[in-house]
Amino acid sequence: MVHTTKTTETESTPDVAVATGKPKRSFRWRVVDIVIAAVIGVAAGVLFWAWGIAYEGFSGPLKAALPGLQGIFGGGWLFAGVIGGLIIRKPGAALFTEVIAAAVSAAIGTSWGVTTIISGLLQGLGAELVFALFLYANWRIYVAILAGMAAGMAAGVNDLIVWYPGVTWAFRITYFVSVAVSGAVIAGALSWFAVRGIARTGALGRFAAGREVTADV
Amino acid sequence: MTQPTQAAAGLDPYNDTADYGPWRFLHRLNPLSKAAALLPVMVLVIFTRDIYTPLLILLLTVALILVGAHLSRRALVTLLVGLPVFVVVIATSFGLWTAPGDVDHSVILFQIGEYRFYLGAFLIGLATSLRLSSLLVMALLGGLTTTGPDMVRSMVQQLKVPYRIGYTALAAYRFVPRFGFELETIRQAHRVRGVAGGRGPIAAFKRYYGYVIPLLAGAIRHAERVALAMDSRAFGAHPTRTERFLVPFRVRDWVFVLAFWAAVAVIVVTSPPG
Repeated sequence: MVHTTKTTETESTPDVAVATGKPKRSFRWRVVDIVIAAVIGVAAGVLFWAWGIAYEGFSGPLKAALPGLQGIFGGGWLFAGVIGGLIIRKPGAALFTEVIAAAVSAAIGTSWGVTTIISGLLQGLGAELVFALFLYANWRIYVAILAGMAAGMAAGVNDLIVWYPGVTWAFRITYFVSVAVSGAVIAGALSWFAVRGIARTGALGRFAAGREVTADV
Repeated sequence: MTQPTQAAAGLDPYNDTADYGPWRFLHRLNPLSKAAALLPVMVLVIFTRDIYTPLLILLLTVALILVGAHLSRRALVTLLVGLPVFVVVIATSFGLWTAPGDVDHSVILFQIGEYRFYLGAFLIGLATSLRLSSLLVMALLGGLTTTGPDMVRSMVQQLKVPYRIGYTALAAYRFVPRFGFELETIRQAHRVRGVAGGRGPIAAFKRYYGYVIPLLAGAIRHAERVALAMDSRAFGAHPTRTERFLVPFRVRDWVFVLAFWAAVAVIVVTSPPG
C-alpha cells in the first residue's frame, strides 16, 4: 500500500526527492500531513487519558516522599508534540499535534477539564520553539531531547501558576526540575526512539522521517 | 441548526445540534460566543487570589447552566453535589501544601503532632479550590451545550481557520472510539503474551510505553488511507469550500458575550480590596 500511493499524490511535491539524493524541502502541509498530525494527536489524546488514570495511582507515594516529585510523570503528557514534530517535520506540527491531543483527552474526560487545552497549547509551543530554533532542519536525538525539555519547562511554569499557587520554593524548584527532566527523557528521548520504532514498522513511508530509517537497511 | 426538523427526524447523522427550546438558550448560541465570553474571564480567574471573585463567578456560571442548559441527571448531580464536595476536598488538600510561613497564624483548625492546620492556610486553599472549580464550571458551560462539529464549523466559518485543517481535525476526532478499541486490543494482545507483567510504577511504565508504537503505527496506517481517500475526492484542492451546515453568529451571540462580560465586570468592581 505504501509503495503504490506515491504516484497518486495531488499536492505538488513529496518532502524529499527519494532516489536522486537531492533534498527538496517544502513547508507546505500536504493533506496527508494534516491527517497524520491530527490522527497522531487523537491517538496521543487517548494515551494521555489512560496516563491520567495511571497517574492518579502512582503519583501518591511520590507526593508523600518529596512534594513536587510527581512532576516526574509530567512527560507522559508531553510526547505528542515532539512525536508530531519529528514525523511531520513542518512548522506548526508540534503545536498542532499537542493541542489536538490535549483537546481529545479533555473531551474524553480528564479530571482537569478544559485547562488541559491551555496546558497543551503552552507545551506544544515549548516543543515548537526548539524545532524552530533548529530551522526545522535538524531531527537528531538531542534536538528531540531539547524539545521535550522545553515542553516540560512550559508545563512546569503553567502548572505552578494554575495548580500550585502559594507553595514553597522547595516545591516549586522540585516540581519544575522534575517536569523538565521528565520532558527531556520521556517526551524527548523516548519519543525519538518511538518515531524510529514506528518508522521501522514501515508506516512512515510517505515521510522523510520514515525514509531516513528504512534507507539504512 | 439550520435544519432542525431533519435533525429531529434523525435523518442526518452529521447534524447533531440539539435544540431544547428558547429557555435552554445556551444550545442556541454560536459556540464562539460562548468561548469569547468565557475565555477572557478564565484568564482573569487564573490570576485572582481572593475568594470573592471566583466564588461569585462560579455562582453566576452555575446559575447560567441551570437555566440555559439541558442537563442529564448525571450532569445535574455532578453540578449540585459533586461540585461542593470537590470545592471542600480541594480546599483542604491545597491548604495542606500551602507554605506555613505566609499565612495568618491566629486560628488553628486542627493539630496533628507538631503540624498545625491554620484557618489562613485553609482560606488560601479555598481560594485555589474556588478558582479551579470556577474554571471547570466555565468549561462545562461550553462543553455541555456545544458539539465538537459545531465548534469546528464555527471556527472555519467565522474565525477563518483553514478548512483543510478544521475539517481534517474533525475527521480525525471521529476516530477516537476506534483508537480506544485498538488500545484495548493491544492491551489484550500484550496480556495474552505476558508482555511486561508485574506490578509497580516501573512495570506500569514499561507496559504503557509498549502501547505507544503499535497504537501509533496502526493510527498512521489508518490515517494514510483516510488521506488517500480525501485526496482522491480533491479535498483541499480549492481555496474555499461550500458549507453543508451554517453556524451563524447572530445578535443574540453579541448580547450574551456583552452581558456576561458586564456581569463579571460588576463582580470585579465590587470585590473587596485586599
